[in-house]
Amino acid sequence: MKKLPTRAKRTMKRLAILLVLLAVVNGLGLYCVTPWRSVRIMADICDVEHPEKITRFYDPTLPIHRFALHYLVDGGDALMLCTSAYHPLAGWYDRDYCAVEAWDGAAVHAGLRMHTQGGKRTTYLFGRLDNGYIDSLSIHAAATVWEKDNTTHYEVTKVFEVPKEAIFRGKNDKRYILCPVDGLVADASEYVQYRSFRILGYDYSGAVLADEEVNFQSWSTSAD
Amino acid sequence: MNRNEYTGQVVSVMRHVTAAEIAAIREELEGHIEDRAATLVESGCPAGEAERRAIDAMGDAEEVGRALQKQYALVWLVAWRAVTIAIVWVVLCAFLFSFLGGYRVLCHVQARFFPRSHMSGSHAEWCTQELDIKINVGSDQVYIYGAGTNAGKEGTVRLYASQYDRWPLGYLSSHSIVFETEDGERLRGGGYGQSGGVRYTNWEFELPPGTDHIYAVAERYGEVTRVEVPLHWEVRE
Repeated sequence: MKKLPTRAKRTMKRLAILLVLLAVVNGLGLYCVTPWRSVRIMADICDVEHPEKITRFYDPTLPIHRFALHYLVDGGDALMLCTSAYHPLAGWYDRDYCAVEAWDGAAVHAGLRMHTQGGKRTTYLFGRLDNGYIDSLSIHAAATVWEKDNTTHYEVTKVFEVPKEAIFRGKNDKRYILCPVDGLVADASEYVQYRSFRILGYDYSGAVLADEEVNFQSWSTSAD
Repeated sequence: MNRNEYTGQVVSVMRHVTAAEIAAIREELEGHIEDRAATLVESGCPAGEAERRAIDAMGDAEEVGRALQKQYALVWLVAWRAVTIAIVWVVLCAFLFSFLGGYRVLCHVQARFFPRSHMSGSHAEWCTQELDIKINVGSDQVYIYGAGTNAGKEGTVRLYASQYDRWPLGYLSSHSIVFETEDGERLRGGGYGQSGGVRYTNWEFELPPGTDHIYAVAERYGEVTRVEVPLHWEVRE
């Protein structure tokens, strides 16, 4: 007489099938079960080899970021700030990303990732400090701001002093930069053409040790 | 009480049991009763009496039902249904996206092994020379598969390449190749199209007829790969 399988056994068997299925679809990238899998996909797109998670944070300012996690990753030759968002149909998927090359021996490598949705905007500065003597940083932005009549415009230069707490040490003992940037770029309602962003690094006495270009990437999502 | 009535009484005290489980429980209990009755019949007991004794030996129907209930706890029914829904959901979503994944695999196979099948129009007419030059750029590969030249007029060279991630379900990066002369002069001109995770690029340069080679250069994070691309000149109308 065949013994009846218990509910517990049947459930555990089915759970094992689910786990195998999740492992397969996650591994193939068809349905990312974990946010890190989609981070690996974004790293592939940005050509960041062997990405290592430096930090992860949550910022729901934009509606599209309410079910999303932001990652700062370092692949040695390149850094990336990216967002992995979740949707039940798609799993964790690539929402936005910005990569910065970091192989050239420069003292600081920095990127600015801006994302606009409706009337809201978030801008994050991220990067890596490869000069141990740099004590403070500032970002200098040059932009053209257009008036609503689309003919009048003027040039602006803004400076953002990077707060000391934005510089932190990762588990790999390297120093990184990560902070939201307010006031450096215009409101979402203004039409601005950014011409350049530069990052300056200073030692404790205020002497300039580094002056590098910042890679700026802008994303835009339609309002819900 | 016959076996049907007995098993009916057993399952009547059980809660949160599905129809399939009820059928399986009744089948098992009836099987036990049948086996016991068969043994009694073999030892000389009449069939009707044997069944009655077999049923009595099973014990009180309600007690049996309560004992069986422990194996059918509600929490496992909920868990089983949740896991089943999750499996169906993942299969549906993966099935939807597997079309995209399957399409990308097809595009990858075409770009890697049959890139010429992608060509049409003037490009197909121009691409008369077969090349087989593969350059790795990070996790991508650039495959220069064809060329066409015209020694008439200014001397025109067209080169054709496909680019894909070496993993069929991988993603293309923005790194690619450029071309330069023996002297290191960068050559410019061309366009590309991208779909299904692969990129097809064609370049067109003007070079002195008789130039026997140029170089394909891949630069990636400070590493430079330089590969010679031979040129064979034709005269076209």
